[in-house]
Amino acid sequence: MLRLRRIEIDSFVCFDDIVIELSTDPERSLTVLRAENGSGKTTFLRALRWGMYGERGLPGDSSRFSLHPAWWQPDDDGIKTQVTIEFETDGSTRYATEGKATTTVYQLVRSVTTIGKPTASDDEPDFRRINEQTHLMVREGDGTWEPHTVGVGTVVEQLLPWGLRDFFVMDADEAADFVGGSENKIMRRQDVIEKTTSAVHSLLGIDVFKQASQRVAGIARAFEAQATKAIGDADLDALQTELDQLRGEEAELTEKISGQRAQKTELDDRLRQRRDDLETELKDIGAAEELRRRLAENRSRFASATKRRKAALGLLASELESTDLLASLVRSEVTTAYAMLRPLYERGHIPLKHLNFVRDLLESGTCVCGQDLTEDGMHRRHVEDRIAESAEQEERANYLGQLHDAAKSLMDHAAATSWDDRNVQYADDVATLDKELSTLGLDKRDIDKRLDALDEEKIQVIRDEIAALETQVSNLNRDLGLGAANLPPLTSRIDSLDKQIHQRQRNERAATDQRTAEALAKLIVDVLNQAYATIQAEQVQELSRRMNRLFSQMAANVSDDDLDEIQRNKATLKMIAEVGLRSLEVNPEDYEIYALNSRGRSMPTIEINGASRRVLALSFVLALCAESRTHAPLIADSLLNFMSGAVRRNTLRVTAENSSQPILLLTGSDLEAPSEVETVTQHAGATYTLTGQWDAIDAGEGGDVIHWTEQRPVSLVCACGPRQYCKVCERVGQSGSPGWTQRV
Amino acid sequence: MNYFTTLLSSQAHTLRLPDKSKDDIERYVLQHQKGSVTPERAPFRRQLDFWAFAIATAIANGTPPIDNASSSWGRKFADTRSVQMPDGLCEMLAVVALTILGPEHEGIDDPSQIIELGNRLAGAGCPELLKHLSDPDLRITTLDKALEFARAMRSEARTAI
Repeated sequence: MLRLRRIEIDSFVCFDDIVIELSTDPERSLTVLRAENGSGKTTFLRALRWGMYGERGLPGDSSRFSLHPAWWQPDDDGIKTQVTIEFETDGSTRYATEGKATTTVYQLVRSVTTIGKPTASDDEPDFRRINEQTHLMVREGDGTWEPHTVGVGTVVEQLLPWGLRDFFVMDADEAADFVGGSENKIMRRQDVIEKTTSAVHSLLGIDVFKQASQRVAGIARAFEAQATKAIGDADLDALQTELDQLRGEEAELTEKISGQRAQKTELDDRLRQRRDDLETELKDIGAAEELRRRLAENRSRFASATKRRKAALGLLASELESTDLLASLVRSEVTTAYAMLRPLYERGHIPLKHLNFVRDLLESGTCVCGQDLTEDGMHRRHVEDRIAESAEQEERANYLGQLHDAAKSLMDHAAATSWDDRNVQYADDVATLDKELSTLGLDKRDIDKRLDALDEEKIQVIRDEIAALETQVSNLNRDLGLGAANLPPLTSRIDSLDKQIHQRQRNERAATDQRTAEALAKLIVDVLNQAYATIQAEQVQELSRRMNRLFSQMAANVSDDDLDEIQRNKATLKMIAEVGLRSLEVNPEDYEIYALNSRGRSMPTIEINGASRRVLALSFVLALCAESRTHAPLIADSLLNFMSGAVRRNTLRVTAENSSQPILLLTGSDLEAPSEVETVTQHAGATYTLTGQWDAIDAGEGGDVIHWTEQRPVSLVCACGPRQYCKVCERVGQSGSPGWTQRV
Repeated sequence: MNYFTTLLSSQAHTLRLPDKSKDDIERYVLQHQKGSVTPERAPFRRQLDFWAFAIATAIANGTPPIDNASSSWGRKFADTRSVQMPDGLCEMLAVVALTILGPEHEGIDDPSQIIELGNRLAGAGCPELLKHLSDPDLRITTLDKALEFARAMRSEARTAI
């Protein structure tokens, strides 16, 4: 068990001299440091890491990292930076969970002096650090501090192993590395696996078994070699030398195969990713085929509509030739002609229809009145003269008769309204076809545009990449096959040599004792390996279950309103049905975090949104700490970023309840809702607020801090909790706002 | 084929349109355009249809036939045997010959005189028709202009009666 008690920071970047007393109350173990962005949260975290781990705890190239205050101008006198961390432990560890009745209190003091340094260019740091000192003090019963007898490094490494620094001093962005990286960082899968595996092995103590097994195996081999030597046989010595050499080769080959397997995992991962990409693109190609089919159909319909339109236009134009139209245009002439001819027609003058009748009477020899019209009759000649007179006019009268009929017909045509009706009908037909053509034209433009947007080049690039990756995987499989093929003969030769040597040794009494020890050591190796396998499987299963429980608690009652607007296209908490840790098929000793949807399908972590990934990473960290019985502080920065509503509330509560000493660095907006304030009030034994003085109104930097108490660019600390303000931290608008109180 | 069609087509009588307007007229005749041109730009299928419409235009507008013989100003585009004359057009030509020449005129049943009268009327109506077809308004097509012109004259002719 380890618990932080007090942190004092002197002259570290934006801190002049601040002291934070952390809550050590087991019932209210939470400590909250409230600070707006840019007020020193991250600097506080760095000061703590530097205090614990020294230069290696700093980010990037530590020689360029300024520990000294921002206001200090480099000079020869220099300035001293110091971080003091006070912590207590009851002596219990992950492996020995029973602690002592009394706790031991330590004080870790790390200091360094920064002095000015001449530089050749602006790019070079104008300072250097000298005289770094670290002291570890133990508090005696009477309250005095005495130097600790064991080295600082040993104690810190024992209590806060460097490899697990992310578990104790956690930047939520970095914690997301366990699930493939944060919003702006995507990690290689192999790196994620290595990081997760390392944490699981270290915290669950699995590596201890493995190391013990390897150590005892080494001892067994040494006994074996000594047994051979004890016989003093030159042939046996040669066999033993060969055996040692082969074992070396076997170890080398095994390591090579392990490396190739890791490489294959990476390649398989990339191959899967690119195949997914290809599938996505091919969906578009499927769309392309559909688009091309529609384009062909569009062209066919367009051609048909164009043809029909031309025909409709032909019909409309033919109305210009129509007799109805021509007759109506010459209506005046037709009417005149008809008026002229109609009386003649009515009187029978046109055509001369009766003349044939008279000719028939003449032929019969009797008139209708009974007169004789025979050859010799006087009347017959008279009739013949009349017929001759009329015959001269017959042709013209008949022509006029034809004209009468024509005029009558044309009159009917001129009076008809069907020309207008047909005109309207044909014009409508043309308009309908115009509309159809317009729609088809628009459709075509749309299809063309969508076809243009398809990136067939990109698809080819992906296909080429996949082909290259497949070649690499194939080569690797071949190498692995060769390696795997070489291993059995090697092992077989080793076994054979081993047997030969044993046979010879059995004949020698001098080797008996050594062989007994070797056999015992081998037995221990077997026992350790079995224990290793069992513990590994059981603990990882339990870890998975615990992780899933914590995740479910944090994801409980989440609504869509709680989801980050920007990342709505990604998988959300609501879509995740189960999370956990699983071993990899290619190497069962490697682990990765998984998430499954409600259909039991695996969801790639990079497709999960930022808030969900943080929740996933946090559930892993909390579960691993609990499973490994690591009772240590959890100092977390940016934990609630990208979270809102129920997720934020649940995460805050679950972290407060499941960490032995949660120390959370939060912004004011993280603590806006009454439920968050309530959680903090319920669980926090200590609250602080960091205020950047450069945000003061008087500083002229556009900030909203009301009082500029220090007149220097430093960050001050006060004991204000959520919705509290004082003379140090008060910002514009807090005074008089509902729910805000002034701390006296 | 009716009586007047037989009368006018039994012998070849020359059909003429004003020589000076040859290009303008052909522009509006579909038969003289390339395959891609639609009736929208060339509303008249044949020159005969343009000729008939020009005659109707002259009569509807009360424009008298050109005095001079058509051979002096006209260009032959067809003859009545080489082209299929519609019955309605032939009847119209005969009736118009009757009213314009008068019932006593010797030539009212003479096909050559009837066709010549048609030529002179077509020559008289041609400028007005071309004027409407070549209206510079680009918002409507030539076919629309021709139909619009026809509708206006038709309406006018009805009102007049």
